Amino acid sequence: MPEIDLFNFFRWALFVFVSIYCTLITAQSLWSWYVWLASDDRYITILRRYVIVHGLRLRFGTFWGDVLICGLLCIVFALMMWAHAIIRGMNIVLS
Amino acid sequence: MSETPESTPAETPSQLPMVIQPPATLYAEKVRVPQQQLGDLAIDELEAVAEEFGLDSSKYKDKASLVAAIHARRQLIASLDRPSMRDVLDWAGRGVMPGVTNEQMAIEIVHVRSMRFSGLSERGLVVLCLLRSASISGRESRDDLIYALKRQEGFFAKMKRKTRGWVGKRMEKMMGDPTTAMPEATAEPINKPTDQTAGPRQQALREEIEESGFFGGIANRVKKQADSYVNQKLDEIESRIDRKLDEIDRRLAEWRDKEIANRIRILKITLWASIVVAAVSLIYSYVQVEMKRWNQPTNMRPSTTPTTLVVPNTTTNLTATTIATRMSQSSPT
Repeated sequence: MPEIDLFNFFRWALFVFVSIYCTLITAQSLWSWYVWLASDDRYITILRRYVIVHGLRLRFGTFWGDVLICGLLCIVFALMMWAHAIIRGMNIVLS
Repeated sequence: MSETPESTPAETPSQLPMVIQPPATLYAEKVRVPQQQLGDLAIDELEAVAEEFGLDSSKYKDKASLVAAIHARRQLIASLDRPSMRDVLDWAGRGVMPGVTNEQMAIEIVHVRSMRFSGLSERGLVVLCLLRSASISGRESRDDLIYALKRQEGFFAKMKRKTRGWVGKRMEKMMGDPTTAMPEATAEPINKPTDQTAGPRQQALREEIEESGFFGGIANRVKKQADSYVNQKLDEIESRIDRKLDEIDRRLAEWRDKEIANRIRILKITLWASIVVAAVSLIYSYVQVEMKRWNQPTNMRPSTTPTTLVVPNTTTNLTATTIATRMSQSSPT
């Protein structure tokens, strides 16, 4: 009978389900947008160009602070994963 | 003075270089009645065509001379300078549609009966003389051209015009005509051919009645007022639509910025939550490892000698170093 740690089980289950769910939802949304905007209809073509123009008019300076924080948080997250790897190694040694 | 079929003043284009295009630039104009079919038309149809081109059909005795005169008139019209013709139409207060042919402009000019030439350029006067069949040689001064035009007008036509002018004057006084005024009696042209944005001069009510008669003048005025009102409303609608589109664009840009800011904020919150959960998990794992280490019997603990340390394949060098340090610190002496 394998010994199951409930906390670890919860972590891994959360990781698996949330990752799959987010990936599926994002891919589905992107695909539906792509299909809609790739149409040959005249008005959709105008809309596509309008979306591109809006994208080009986007000013990065408005969001640079939040983007920087997100980057730093990603680095912290990577460090956390690295620390987890160290702990896991210690656990394997002790076992 | 009326014209004669034998001596048409328009047959001397080389003497009028100001309004006659050079032969190399002449082009075959699309005409409503092809030349080869003129002879096939009935005499009354030919007379109607001649009237349309400003010819007095009663002066031509037979069909052949009428056909020849129409042909000569069409040749003359095709050779006329377009800016000069546009001068006349602007002076007469008639708009020129883009892409209109010489013949269409000439037919419109023929319908202009006004004898008030103030504000008309000299080249416009020459065009008017040619289309009204006034005898000119092309070397006349402005006053000579005006004199030729007045001389060309018949007695009854002049009487009719004067009567209409008198009625128009009375009507103008009765109704009031603040929107337009007669141009000043000056020799300087008021129309500017180089200014493409300048529209045609708006005629006074007196001029319109003098030119088109009492009912025709009033009807023209009502029609112009209605057109002006509709155009004004259309401009207002257009500007309102433009303002609305600008407003929509501005709101869309604001919505886009807000939406992106919200998405980034959600991403930030998600990252914070992930890091907190990872930290909790890290602490939990560390506590678990420590408990496992302390629960082991002393002789079962890993060796303190780094040389005997068995490092799994998945463990990194740093992990091994950490383990070794921990072991050396916790080993009993």
